[in-house]
This record gives sequence, structure tokens and C-alpha cells, in this order.
Amino acid sequence: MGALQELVRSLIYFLGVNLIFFALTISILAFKTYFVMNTVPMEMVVTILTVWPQP
Amino acid sequence: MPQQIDHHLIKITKFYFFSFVALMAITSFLDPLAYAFGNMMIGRGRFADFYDIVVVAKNYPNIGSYCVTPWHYSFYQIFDQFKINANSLFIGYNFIIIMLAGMVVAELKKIFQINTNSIYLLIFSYPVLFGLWRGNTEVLSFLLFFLATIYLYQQDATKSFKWYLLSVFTKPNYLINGVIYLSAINKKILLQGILFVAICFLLIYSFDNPKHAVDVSSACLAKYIEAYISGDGGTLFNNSLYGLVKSTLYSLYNYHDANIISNTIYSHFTKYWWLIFGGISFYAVRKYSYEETLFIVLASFIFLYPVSADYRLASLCIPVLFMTAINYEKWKFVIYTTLVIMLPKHFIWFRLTELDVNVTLNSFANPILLLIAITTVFVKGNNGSSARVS
Repeated sequence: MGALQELVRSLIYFLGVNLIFFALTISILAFKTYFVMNTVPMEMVVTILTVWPQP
Repeated sequence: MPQQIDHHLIKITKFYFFSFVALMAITSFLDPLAYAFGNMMIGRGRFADFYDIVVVAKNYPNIGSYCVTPWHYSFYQIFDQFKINANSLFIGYNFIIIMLAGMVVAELKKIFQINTNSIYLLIFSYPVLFGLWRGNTEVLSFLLFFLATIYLYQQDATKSFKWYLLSVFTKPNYLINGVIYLSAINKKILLQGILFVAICFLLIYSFDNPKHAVDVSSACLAKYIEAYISGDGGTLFNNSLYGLVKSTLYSLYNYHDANIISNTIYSHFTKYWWLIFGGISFYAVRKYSYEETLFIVLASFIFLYPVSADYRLASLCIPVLFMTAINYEKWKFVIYTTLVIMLPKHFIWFRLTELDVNVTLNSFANPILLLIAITTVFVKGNNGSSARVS
């Protein structure tokens, strides 16, 4: 029971930490480009979103 | 009887995790430093390696990747025979990592009374996730070795040795950490280990010729050395003494001379580094306690081995965790130094404009900090007064 609980917990943490890095990457990119170009290049964000789990 | 772990580990882990997040944010906003961020973390480069390895394993003589071990090769050959595609392989690989992480924490709970949340932040830290995204088996091997050390800590040497052998199969570099078993092993365990190796060998043999797998692996290693150790890529990813020497040479001489000198040093270094490492390890096994020996062996391996990538720093989590549990105040300095080393300093690059070569801060800082940490453990070590595995 303890091992199963830890498995679920580790899955949640793995996804959570991944999500934090992913959100950070996207938001930093968006902010950076906003300050440089005064626009958020949505196509770049969409590309990253689609590329994330794919080769 | 579980040992009480203090709250320092939680503080350390939070410090480690959030300083990485802060570092990422700062480096991306400062323009000269943002170069690394743009190249390392965004776009395909971050995820492409995993699929590269799958393709390499399928179409052998066209080798396009750097990190294919014999195990790696056999593993993908088996998956290829069952017609399992790369995407489900990626998910499966990640799931194995998650399962092993869960097992590690469940076993840690048996020894220490700990807040598991902080351990998860340590396990899914930058070096681990980065290795995972790049499909490097270092992560898999590290977690298997982590389990092995926990069982050794619980005085279960037989079980530990088996997990250790599995770890060696996933990444042969971990063979070198076998020195910590010198005081623990007996004839019976050694025989069981040999039997285990024979079964694994036969299992691989049933799918493919093992010599072929070793050939692929050695060709990939040679390619890696050519690109990163002999070539100029080596200034970017090394945490070793050789990386420090090479980065210094690049800042002193011109590109051509620096390459010639560093290659000469490398050819001598590869002959003798293991002698120094062996001497240090044997001395540590005889004189120091389990946690100190583990730290000295792992850290001196990272320090002396010329081909040591960033992912390998993750293995320093193990002794740091045990040291924190046993005697925090004594090892405070070592623990903080180690966690600073593990921060991703190759986000901070500076360009030597005349030479058109990029150098990272970690090539200079990490070897020096590692040396300081190893020396501190050597000086402050309690010369084998704590409990040892027998």
C-alpha cells in the first residue's frame, strides 16, 4: 500500500515539476519577446506546445 | 528503527529548487546570458535526443548519437522487434523513472522519518529532468544505484549488489562505483552476482549479438569524445579537472594551440586518472565511514573522469541525503557546496570574442568547488568510527 501511494505521489510530482518548467519556459519566452518586439509571437508558442511531446 | 531527519533537508531542497527557478528567470532576461536559454531550453533541441537514440538503435551503421550503451541498444532492439513506436517508448521510459523514484522514496521512508515532498523535488531536479528529456540512461542508472545504496545502508548487501549490477547494465560507467562494495561483499554474494550477470547476458544474447551491441556503444563513445572532449564542445559540458584545464587553455591561447595542448593533456590524462581515483577510493574504503566513502568515491570520480557530463552530478544526491540524516552540522558546508554545484550553471555563458568560443561558468567553478568539498570530507571525516556494512 505504501509503495503504491508513493508511486502515485511520484507521478503527481513528476507531472507538477514538468509543468512548472514548461509554464516557466513559455512565460519567460512570451515576456522576453514582448519587451523586445512589443508583441507575443503566438505561432512560436503554438509550435512549442505542439512540439512538447512529439519528435 | 527509523532515524529522525531534521528540517534542514527540506530547507536545502527548497533553496536548491527555487534558486534554479530564479537563475532561469534572471538568465533569460539578461541579454548576453540569454543565449544559452534560447538554445538549450526552447525548441526541438531539448527533446530530440531521445528520438535520435531510438533511430540510431534501429539503423546501426549510421550512428548519429552519442549516448548508446550496450543495454540501450539491446533494449531498443527488443522494442523494435515488438513494433513499439518511439512515442510509447518515451512514455514507457518516463514511467519506469517515476516507478523507480516511488520505490526509492518508499525505501527511504523505512530508514528515515522524512517529509517525502522535498525528496521528490531533489529527485526531479534539473540534472535529472534534463537527462530524462534527452533520453540519457544516466537517470535510470542513477535511480537503480540509489536503490542499491539504500539496501546497502539497510545491511542487505545481496539485494544491493543485484540492483547495483542492473545499474551497471544501464550505464557501464557505474562499474567504477563498485569499490564501495569492497568491504561489504563475500564469496556467496559474488557468485550470485556472476549468475545474475550470466542470465542477463543470455537474455540479451537471445535478441542480438552482444559484440555488436558493444561495438555500437564504443563507436558512440568515440564520437562523443571526438565532439566534446577533443573538439570545442568540451568547453561547455565538463565538470571535471580536465574541463577546467581545457577552459583555461582556451582563455590563454588561440583556438588551434589550445586544441593541440588540451589533446596532448587528454592523452596522458586518460592513462593515469584511474590510478589516482583508485588510490583515493581504496584509502576511503579503509579509513572512512559509509556516507563519507560514498561521497569521496562519487565526487572524485566526477572530478577526475574527463568525460563527465552534467547528469552525473545527480548521483551526488545520495551521499548528501545520508550526510544530512546523520550529522547535519558537521557536513553543512559540504552539503551546500554540493547543491550549488548541481545548479545549472551552464546557463551562464561568456563568449571569448577573439576566439569565437563559448565558455560556461561551470567549467571553471564546478571542479574547484568539487575539490573543496572532497578535501573537506577528507579532513573532517571521522576515520571509520560510525557503523559500517560488514
